[in-house]
Amino acid sequence: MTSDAPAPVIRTERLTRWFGNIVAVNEVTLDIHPGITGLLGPNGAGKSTLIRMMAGLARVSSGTVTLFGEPVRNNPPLSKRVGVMHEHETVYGFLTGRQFVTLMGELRDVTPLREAVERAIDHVELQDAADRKIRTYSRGMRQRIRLAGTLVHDPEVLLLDEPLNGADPKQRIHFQRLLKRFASEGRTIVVSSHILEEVERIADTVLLLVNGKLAASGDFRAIRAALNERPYHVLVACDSPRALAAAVVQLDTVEAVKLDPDGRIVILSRNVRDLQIELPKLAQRTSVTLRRVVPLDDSLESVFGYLVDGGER
Amino acid sequence: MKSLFLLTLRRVLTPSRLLMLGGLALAPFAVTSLILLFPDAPPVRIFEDFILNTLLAGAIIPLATLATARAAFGDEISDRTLANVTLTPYPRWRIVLPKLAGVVSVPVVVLGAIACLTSYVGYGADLPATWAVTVGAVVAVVLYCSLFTWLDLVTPHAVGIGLAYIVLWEGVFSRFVYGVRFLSVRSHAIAVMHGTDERRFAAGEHTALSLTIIAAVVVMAGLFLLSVRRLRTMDSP
Repeated sequence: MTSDAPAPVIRTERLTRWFGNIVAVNEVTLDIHPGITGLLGPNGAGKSTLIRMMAGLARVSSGTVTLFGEPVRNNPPLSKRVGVMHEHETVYGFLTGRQFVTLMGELRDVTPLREAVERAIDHVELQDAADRKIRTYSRGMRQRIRLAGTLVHDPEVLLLDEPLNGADPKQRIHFQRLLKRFASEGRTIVVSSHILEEVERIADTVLLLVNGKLAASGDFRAIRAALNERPYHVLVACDSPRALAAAVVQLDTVEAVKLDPDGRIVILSRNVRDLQIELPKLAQRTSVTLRRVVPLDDSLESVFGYLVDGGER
Repeated sequence: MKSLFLLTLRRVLTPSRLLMLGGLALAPFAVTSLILLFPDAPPVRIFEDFILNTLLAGAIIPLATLATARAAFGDEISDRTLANVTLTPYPRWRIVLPKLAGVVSVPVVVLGAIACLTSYVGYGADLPATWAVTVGAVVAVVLYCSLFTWLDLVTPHAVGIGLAYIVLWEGVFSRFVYGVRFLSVRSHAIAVMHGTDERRFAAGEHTALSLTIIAAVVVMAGLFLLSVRRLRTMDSP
């Protein structure tokens, strides 16, 4: 049987990495095609290790990883086709931004170098500060100059590990536009993040990594829908908890209501979005004053935990 | 290659490293000058054994090179910038070579110059002896740099292990344990000094100059290849 589907740019098969007794990445099998792929997972999920193995920077304990069908480890020529921005924010503080990008270009054998350096600095909009020492840069500027260093050789594949750390909202929007433009040019981009909304804005496809395992993968909307259906606990403080609890329990989106010893309401809902809309209306109708509404388990870890546990059930 | 050499050189030429290198390098010259101030100057053998052998080849050169060799890979591993240089289409030897050249270049000039100056003063302007000591010091710098550069690649505790090596191996075992001498950089340096000018270090038993040179080249090439291999197999932080 043959398939007409294009070959993946990045392919891992049962990719595993152990650090002593700790498994960082556990038998991950995935294909990544051109476009933006978000690698999502809580801190310590194995995202950075997976990216480092994809880049050939880290050894694999077992399994394989290939880029363009070639093994990545000990394959120096492949680095001309790949740009890697790793999670660590350290840079050569004694160099200026332009010197750093030039150095990266020289190390990647870029010709003509000067044009490539200027283009990369333009991409990240750092022309004004390019001749300042990097040690004088803000955190966001350091991230941008690192991105320029990653882009200088015009790579076909971009592996970006938490690239938006330290970026302000304006820079985030610029960065998202930039990545979308690169993706429209046919590049393959992997962006890791532990922030769900951040990945949602830029990625077409998502890989969810939890405890080193691939918990879910595919279209973002399907995963988002799965996340929306999970039950959430929401804590509500108000001036008349019993009255509000009696009204809230009538809502379709609510599965259970409980009064805690401090007189606050804990609501279990499978549709938090609708609850957010309904709750203020209900409070108004019952003349109850809301003091505080707090999601109790909205951390990314709990979301991933739900997905993983749900998948095993 | 040039950019990696210059990057390494910039890391070597930090004020703290230069201060340490300068301070250490001045010690043999200062002690020699101090000794010569006394009317009863010690015999040449004491100068050779204490200043050149123990102080210069056995302490100053290894300590200074231990500090400067970190600029090749130790610093890059510590501050996690090594991936910047390993993600290159060039083969690994083209990373190790300019980095090694970068960390050798500064101490070879500074310590070579101080060895030249110290021996010139100590031997009373004896030019062949001065030349012999300078060549021996240069050989020691290159060998120690190769050793400590490799050490930085294989362990995060390179400084501690390097200090233990200097004190125990070079300072104790190579002096008192027969056979260890052939594996001692200090002994190689002294053998080169003696081989270049046979009047110097005449009292001791030394390996022949040709054999010393072959051994030094083999050790240097071996450490270079080990560094290249390590760079290929290790995880880049």
